[in-house]
Amino acid sequence: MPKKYRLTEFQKDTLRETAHIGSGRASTALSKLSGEEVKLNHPRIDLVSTKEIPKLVRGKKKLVVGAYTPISGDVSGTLVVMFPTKSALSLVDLLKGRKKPSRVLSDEDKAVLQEVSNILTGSYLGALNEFLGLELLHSLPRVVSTFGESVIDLVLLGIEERMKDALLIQTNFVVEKREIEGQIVLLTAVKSADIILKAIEKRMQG
Amino acid sequence: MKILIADDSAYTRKLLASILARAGYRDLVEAENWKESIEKFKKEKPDLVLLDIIMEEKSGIDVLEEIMNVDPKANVIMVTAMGQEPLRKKAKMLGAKDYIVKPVDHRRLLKLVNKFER
Repeated sequence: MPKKYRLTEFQKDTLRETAHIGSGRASTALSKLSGEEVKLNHPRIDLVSTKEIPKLVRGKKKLVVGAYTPISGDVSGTLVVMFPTKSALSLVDLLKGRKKPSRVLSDEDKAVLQEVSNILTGSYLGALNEFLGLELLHSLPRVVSTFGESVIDLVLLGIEERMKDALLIQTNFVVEKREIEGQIVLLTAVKSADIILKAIEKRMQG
Repeated sequence: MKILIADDSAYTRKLLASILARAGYRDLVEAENWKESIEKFKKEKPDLVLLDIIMEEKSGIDVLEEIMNVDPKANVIMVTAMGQEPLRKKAKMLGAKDYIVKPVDHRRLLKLVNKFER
């Protein structure tokens, strides 16, 4: 792959469809957990400098709860599930059957969000494995409560030295009836983007 | 049999068209957004529609509703990444004949499509 790699419209389209498949499966899991319909937006696909990524993430100046999971196997990268704090609280209230809205996130609540994020991450990557015929592995997400851009900074700390540019795939979701919103961000090395695109091409050839 | 493939992903349209063409279906029409989906449904009068749900501006569920308003007997199979139960129920209630969750299983797709052969 050339150093300054640019995605064609068709490649962007195929990556967007890949994101639909991953986030579609994750939204199904969230719908099962919440008992409500989960709406997804059109994923954002960008090949960008890692320095730019914190600025591109939605809610960068807002307090969020972020769960990030390194991906290993055929593709390397990180999957981040992020909720604005208010949404994170609403989701935990819903899952724990709390009638009175909570204002502060306890350690136990964070553990619930870690489990939810683990389910969403597993669903997203599982769908990608099925679709791409690749093996994307993940461990238990690490949960942090901070500003949106800081979550991404934390993710990049681990990978920035190894890559200047990255593929950013960002999907926003909303559970309208419960006023819960969030986003799933997949960050991979450019080399991994190439592996994904080749896997899609192979699938197309049947 | 004329089949309308309505999906805003060029990749998915190409993939579905290739699966169907290899199985001998040659009369294929494509639509790349909600507006074109409805226009082509009216103009081409397909025997079967393969309809995505996540489309820009308008959801495939809304498109399904409009198609069923044009022809309540329309044969529509939803082909989508969204496998949520509330959506499946909504699609069924509006008249969709079946529901396939992406990634598409080629054999299942062809089995369902074959059912609509006249």
